[in-house]
Amino acid sequence: MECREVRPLIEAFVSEQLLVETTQAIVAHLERCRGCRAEVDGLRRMRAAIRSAVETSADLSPRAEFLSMLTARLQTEAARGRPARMRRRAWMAIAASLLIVVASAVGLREWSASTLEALLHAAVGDHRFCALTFKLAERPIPLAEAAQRFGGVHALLAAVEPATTTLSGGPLRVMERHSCVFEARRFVHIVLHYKDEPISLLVPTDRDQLSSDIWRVGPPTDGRTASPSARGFMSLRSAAHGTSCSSCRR
Amino acid sequence: MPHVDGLFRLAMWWERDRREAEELVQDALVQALQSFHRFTAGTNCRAWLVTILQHVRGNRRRAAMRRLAVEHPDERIADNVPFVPAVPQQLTDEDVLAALRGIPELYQDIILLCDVEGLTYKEIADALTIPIGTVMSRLHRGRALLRKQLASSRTVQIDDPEDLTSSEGTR
Repeated sequence: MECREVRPLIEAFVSEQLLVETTQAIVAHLERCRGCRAEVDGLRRMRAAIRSAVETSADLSPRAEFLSMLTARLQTEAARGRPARMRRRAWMAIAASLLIVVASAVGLREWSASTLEALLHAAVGDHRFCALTFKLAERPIPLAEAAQRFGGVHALLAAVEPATTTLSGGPLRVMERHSCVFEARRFVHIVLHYKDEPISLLVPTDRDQLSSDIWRVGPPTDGRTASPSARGFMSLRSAAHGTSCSSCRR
Repeated sequence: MPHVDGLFRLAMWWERDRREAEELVQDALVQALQSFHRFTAGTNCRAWLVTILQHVRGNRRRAAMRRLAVEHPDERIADNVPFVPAVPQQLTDEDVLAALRGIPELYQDIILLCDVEGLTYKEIADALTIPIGTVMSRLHRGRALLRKQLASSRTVQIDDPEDLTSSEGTR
């Protein structure tokens, strides 16, 4: 590429909006063109300065009191007056915390009901799609890497190959598995895809013995053949959902 | 809560009033919670929240009978940026914030969403309900105006004479 072709694309290049092929062509041009390189460096410097200035400005940061008030307000809103459709889908959020529920049964009894409730609400709004958007403050770690670094539950789950199985509602497949920090606790976050919707499972990693309890849960209720991973997930979902979801109990 | 800091920064930048910004963010998040079933899995949650924030902001403005013009006269002004100076080597936060405040609001919005919030051109277009071509042209004009502001706020230190020729290429 020549300068006259590169210059109109420099802003999109700096904003990382170009196709890979175009980006590579511009990178190759920059290696031999001092003028275009200076232009790119200037734009990058300006972008970085804008971001830093805005993000570190105390005038633009929320007050701690506001964040507390906002959290309480959202939890209240989540607990009451949900539209029917949202209530129906809320089982996914319950599923998101089902392993926490199971965890409390096998050794994390110190978690109070209010703590679980807070985690549940937070999972609805903030954590459910972290695997899909990776917008957490701390970037999630791939499960294989987490297995090497932390061992324990990470290693156990990493050793189980994600498999797709077919259940009564259609295929169930594992979309994503990683380790992430949420509410100052580390979890294995597993995102399943079932009935055209993602289901997040948060597996606590605090207790090593928890891992063996997870896999001792029985087979799925619909009796289909399932891989070890799917069997574990679905059994947990069924068990925890049944005991957690007021709609199903009715 | 992830995203809240970014949403608040945007709201605070727009409203310039902490109480107004807090109300705006709270209204937007409550609305997001109530319409969470409309969120498309696999898309950018931050962009989705920014879109809601922008809608709530628009509704509040309309309620106050202060409807935003679709075509802003500032765009015509920005068409006539004769020379784009080089970006200064040293930039302080104060310089940057003052320069950003010094350009028309519609360019501020685009620059914030792109350079601070990291939204793609498409996500910005959806959030502001404008064509993607308008996003690109406003971003280009906005950055050119910002460079002029930055250059006028301090003496530009040019380490390399090619900086001058390089800056001309952005017109």
